[in-house]
Order: sequence, then C-alpha cells, then structure tokens
Amino acid sequence: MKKILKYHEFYVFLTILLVSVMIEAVSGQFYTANNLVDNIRSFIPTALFSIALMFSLISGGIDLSFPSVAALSGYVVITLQNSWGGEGSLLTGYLLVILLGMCLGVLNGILIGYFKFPPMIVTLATGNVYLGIMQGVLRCHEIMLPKNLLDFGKKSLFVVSNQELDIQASMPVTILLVGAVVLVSWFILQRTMLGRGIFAVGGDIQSAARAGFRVVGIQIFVYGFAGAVAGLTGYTRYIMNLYCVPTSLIGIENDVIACTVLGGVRMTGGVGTIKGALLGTLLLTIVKNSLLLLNVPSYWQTMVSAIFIILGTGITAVQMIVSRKKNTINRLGEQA
Amino acid sequence: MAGEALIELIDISKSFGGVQALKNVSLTIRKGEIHALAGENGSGKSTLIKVLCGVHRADSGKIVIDGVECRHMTPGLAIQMGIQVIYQDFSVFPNLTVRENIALNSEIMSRRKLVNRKRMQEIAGKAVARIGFQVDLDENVENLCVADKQLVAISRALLHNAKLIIMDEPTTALTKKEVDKLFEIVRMLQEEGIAILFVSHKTDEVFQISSKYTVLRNGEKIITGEVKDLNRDDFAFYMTGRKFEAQHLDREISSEVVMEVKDLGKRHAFSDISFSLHRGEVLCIAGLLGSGRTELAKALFGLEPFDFGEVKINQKAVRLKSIQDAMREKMGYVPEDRLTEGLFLDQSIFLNELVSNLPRHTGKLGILDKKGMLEEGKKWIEEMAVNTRDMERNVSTLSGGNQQKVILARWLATNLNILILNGPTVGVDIGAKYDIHRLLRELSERGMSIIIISDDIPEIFSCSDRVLIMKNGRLSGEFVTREIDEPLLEQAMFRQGEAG
Repeated sequence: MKKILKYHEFYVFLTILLVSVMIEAVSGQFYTANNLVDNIRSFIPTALFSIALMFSLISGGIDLSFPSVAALSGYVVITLQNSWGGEGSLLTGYLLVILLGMCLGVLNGILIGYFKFPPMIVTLATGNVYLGIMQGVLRCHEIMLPKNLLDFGKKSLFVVSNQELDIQASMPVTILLVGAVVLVSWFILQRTMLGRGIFAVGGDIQSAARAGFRVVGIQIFVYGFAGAVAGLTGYTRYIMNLYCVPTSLIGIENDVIACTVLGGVRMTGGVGTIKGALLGTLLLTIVKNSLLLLNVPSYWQTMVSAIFIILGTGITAVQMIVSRKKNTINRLGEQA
Repeated sequence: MAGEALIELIDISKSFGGVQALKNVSLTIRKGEIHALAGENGSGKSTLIKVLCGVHRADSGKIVIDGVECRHMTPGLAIQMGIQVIYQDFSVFPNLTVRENIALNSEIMSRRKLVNRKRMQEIAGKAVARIGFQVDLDENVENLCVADKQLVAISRALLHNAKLIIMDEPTTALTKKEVDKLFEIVRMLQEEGIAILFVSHKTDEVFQISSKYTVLRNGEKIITGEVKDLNRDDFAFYMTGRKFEAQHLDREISSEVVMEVKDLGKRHAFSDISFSLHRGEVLCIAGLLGSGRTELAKALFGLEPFDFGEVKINQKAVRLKSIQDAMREKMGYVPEDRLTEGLFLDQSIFLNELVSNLPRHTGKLGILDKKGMLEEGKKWIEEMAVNTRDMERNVSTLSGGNQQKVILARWLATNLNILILNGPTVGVDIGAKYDIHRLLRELSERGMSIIIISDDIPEIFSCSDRVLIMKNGRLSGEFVTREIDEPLLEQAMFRQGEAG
C-alpha cells in the first residue's frame, strides 16, 4: 500500500476520478455510455502519439516531428491506394505507412545519434521539411478514402446509445491497435535489453557507452520506432475521420507533450511508463472533451493543455525538491 | 601480500596532437597490492589509466598482464583480463534500480537480448553480498547517498573476475565515516588477492591505505617506492617539484569586531550558532561533510536564509535574505562546488573574473568597456598567478586550482570586507593550494576578514587564526590555532563527532 503512494501514476488516476466526478456533478452527462465511448474515440490517436513521444523522451531526447511524419506518411499511402483504384488491402496500407514513418524517423535518429545534433532542433527542422514536402512538393489537398478503408473506419466493436438525448456512439475497432502498440512497446521497454538500453542512455549516456550499450544504434531505433508509430497513427486517424485532411494533425504536439508530462514521463530523460503516458492522455482527453460538454468555447482547450504542461512539470519539480530535502535530513540524521 | 607481478606497464608513451602526455612511464602492480598513483592535474594520471583500460592506445611501450603481452588493449579486452575502473562519477544509471545497475553490464557482456529478472536478481544479490553491502535491490540508484552509489559501482566491478580495480579519486564526495568504510572494503578485497590502483592527490589517504606509491609529474614517472619509507614533505616535493615551508599564522588580531553572529538557526540544518569575526582575522569553521557547515555558509551569504537569530555587521543588525543583501554588506562567497555553483564554464577567464563587477565597467549607454575590462582582467591574472597564456579562453580550460584563483579574483575585484570560502582547496593540487593559502594570509594582512569552512587539518593550521568546531549543526568548541596541535584538533573534530 505504501508503495502505491509513491507512484506518480496513482495520483494521475486519482485526479482522473476527481475530475470525472466533478464533471458529472456539473453536467450530469459524464457517466453516460455514449460520453465514455466518445472519450475513448478521441483518446486513441493521442495515446498512440504519447507512446511514440515517450520513447524519445526516455532516451533523453525528444521527437517533435511526429505530427508531420504522421500527416505525410498517412497522406502518401492513401494517395497511393487511391491511385491503385482502391486496390491494395488494409494490411498493405498499414505495412507501407509503418515502413514510411520508420524511414522518416530513422533519418532523425541518424542525425541525432550519429551526427550528435541536438534532438529538439533536428526534429523541429525535419518536421518542417516533411511538412514542406507534403504541401509544396506533393501539393496536398483533402482527399477521399478508398472504399475498404472507409469500411474499416466505420467498423465498430459495439454501439451504445443514449435514449435520453437519442444519440449513439460506437467503439471504433482501432482501439485494438492501441492495445497492440501498448503490448509491443511494453515488451520492448521492459523485457528486452534494447529497452533497458533506452533507459540507460536516458539515465546517463556516457555510462551507457562504458557499459557496452550501442548508444547510436539505440538512438536510431528510438526515433525509427517513434516514426513507425507516428505513421501508423496518422493513417489510423485519417481512417477514423473517414476523410483525409492532411493538415489536421499539425499542432497536436502541444497536447501530446502535455499528456506525457502529466503521466510522469521526465523531460530530462530516463523515466517514464506506458501506464503513466496512457493515464496522462486519458486525463487530458477527458478534460478537453468535457470542456465541450460544458459548452466552453473550443479556443480555451489549447490554454487548458498548456496549463496542464505547467502543472505536470511543476509537480515533478516539487517532487525533486522534496526528495532532495529528505536526503539532506537523512544525512544529518546519520551524523547524529 | 605482495606476490608476483600482475600488471606491468613498460615504457609507455602517449602524445595528443604534439603534446606529450606520457613519457616512457613504467609501472608494476603486484597481486593483492594497494598501489597509490599520485600526481597533480595534468601529470598524466588519467591518461595512464585510460591506456591501461584500453580507452587510449599507447604510442609506444608494452602492457604485460599475467606474463602475457597485450598488443592491442581495448576496453573489452581489459575487462576480460580482469581490469575494472571505478570512475569518479561511478558511471551508474540514476534512473535504474540497484539490481539493474549491477547486472546490466554483465548481461550485455554475455550478449543477452532479453531481460531475465531472476538471473539479474541472482547476479546482483551475489555481488552485494560479497562486500557485505546492505541495500534494497529494487531501490532506484538516484535515491541512494553518494557512498552507496560507490558501493554499487564496486559491487559491479567485482563481477567480472576482477584482478585489478582502479579507483579514480574515490573519496572526493565521502564523509570521514564513509571513507573509513570504503577503506575497510578495499582492505578486504586486498585480502582476496585483488590489486587496487588508488588514484589520489590526497596525501593523508595515500599514507593511510596504500603500501606502494608512484608519483607522476608532467607525464613522467618521478618515483616508485614503499609508503613506509616516505614522508609528507618529500611526497609534496615529488608531486610538485617545489619545496614548501610549513606556514603558520602567529599574530595578534585587532579587537575590532566586523561581524557578530548571534543564536543563528535554520530548520533541519543548524542551531544556536554564535561567534564574532574580527578585522583582518581568518576564522575557520571546522566540520565534516553533513555537519551543517555548508548550510551555515550559505545562510551567512543569504543564499539559503537562516530562520532564527541575527547577524550584525559593524555593530548594525543587517538583513541577509538574498545574495544582493550580502553583497551590499561587502561580503563575498566562494562555493564548495565551483564548477556548478561558481563559474561560467563556457565564458572567458577575464569575464569570469569581472562578472560581479560589471557596473564599474559600464559606460553611459550601458555599454561595456572591453578595453578597460581586459586591462583589469590582466592585472588580476598577474596578481593571482593564474597559469594561462590567453585570458580570452574559456575558464573550463583551466585546472581546478587556477579556476579557484579566478573565483577569488572575482571577489577581490569588488573590494570586500568579509570573504566566506567553503572548502577553498577541495580538489586543488598541492602547488595551487599553497598559492591560495598564501593569498588568503596576504588578504587578511590587508584587513579583510575571512571565514573558511574546511575539514582539511593542515589547511586549518596553515591559514587560520581561530577555529570553531562544528558538528551535528552546532558549534562544539573553539580554539586559537597557534595554541593547539594537529592531534588535538583532529580529536576535537572526529572523536566527539562519533560519540555525539
């Protein structure tokens, strides 16, 4: 029991409960089946992005190019599939988009790992390059999806309805993708030496090299993996919207950073859990969705996620100060 | 214990871009021997270690391990041959558990791809048991104290059949008790036949722990010998090539009180601190790491303000809630950790000297007068004997002793009445230490009042008029330095500390 109190995730969970009870009290709409399913629907892409971002953060870097990677790879693959006249199965699409996203990510990884450029600058720049390619070279515009993708986008696990308001909400199949990505990521991070290497590099890069970890390889993997997940997310998001608006993902990084930070992923590297990232995402999703539920104008949402970034980092900073104080007190105690 | 030769370095030379770091250095380490490798900064100690553990390739010379000549030493080969280095920063992962910190290296060595918690638990459990280290294997290393982090590094080093453990300045951040415990472990390892290369420039520790010693200076081996045939003065001479005469202060201090501290206290740090500081006096507050000495120094300078009591300067009660308050009272502070708290490492030497004094070099429009600054910078470099050719270079290029001189110059440039120094010569070479002590004595002759926080007994004797003993956050004794001798002071600092 005492151990649970030490975990950041526990407090995020408490906050989620508290926030949802508050919203229920005000609106009476929160604990309705359709609202819960709606929340999960908007949770899906952000959650996937959060996991991708968490990998780079744990390794001591940051990947800010993911919205562009997602937008570009999704757009390219859908355009391709359209040009094949709607041929090309869903699976081919997913494989292609993952591969493309991975290539774009590996480029980040090479610049960061091999050439030792600072991650934030590299990924900001490549993100803009990818965006430029999409808008300038490919002259992107809004496009329809091929039929098989549309069908997949409409598919649902189950449908719930709210008799009172006479509305329905369906649980998208794509939630299963989140499950798959979570499983794979958890396995890599917790059960492979590669994953422990990511933590080691984020903890102390020099020690990691001395211990025999292949630091450059690990960094390339991290950004490649983040790119692959980003590509997959972009494609999924277009499919879920049943329409491809290439620029719709731009600017989402603010929210995703907020989610990871809220979930206890440390911006300075070395610390982060999937549980935390998911809970952080859930919290922010609920808050933002509920602002709509409470008829708060949508431009407040951006501000809210910004405030959550500050709260999230603030909590971590306070924890560090407290633990440092404890250490000095212990030390004095030892002397006595 | 001294048996056959374990490692022989024969005529090792190494140069970096025309600078000869090592010139024909030979070193023999025998099984189960504690061998001290001493030398000032830039003497080639670290280059020699790096050659030995395969990080650098020697230009010429041989490395013979257990009678086998190793032509191409690499870090991997060094580990296979049983050579382990414990770096000054311990090379641990703060964000991982003790278990992983200990076991990860050997898991990588055996090219594992998947994590096996059970096996790692076993490896780590055995490793800590070997040196009798009591620790929770699930605890994150960042939550351990410095001494325990070091024990994690030692446990890890022992895993690979270590025959030689190189400890690079292992006692830097340890309390006296922790050093004793470390030495116990070192002796235990020696009993098992493991050789230790103890890299240090702390004279006391070399005498306390090692049986043989080797001194390097300017990349050359000066001498190797038995510690029992060595005395302190010779040792200092071998390291620096200079003769030092023991200096003591023997003078009457003016009765004018500059600073009066009354019943000062700070929660969880110190309490009931009262003393007075006279004009031109050097007052030493002698306390061990963790005695509250740093907290007191910081409180006096307004860095971490005190909670109770009052401070009077020139008979006037003053407010010391911030650095600005303290500077207004013409006080200066030289921190314990100059790298993180005192210097702008990526800025030039002269800017570091003058940074607290920029208003004086500011013209009408708020523009800095660079010519005037360079002139003053030069003046201080000459006065402080900072060893540099170009004062526009980054201060990070200087050695520890010279960096310390730069910080001192910064405060002297602001015309101080009271200077507080926290560990003025920690990590500083003997030669630079001597210069700094001489400088402090000169400053006090000119009427500056100085407070030194220190646990270095020879230092206390060479430049203080009066000593206050601090332990467990309180003052527990006061002596006039010239009326006591070293054993008495030592007893006052350590014995009581343990009993209380």
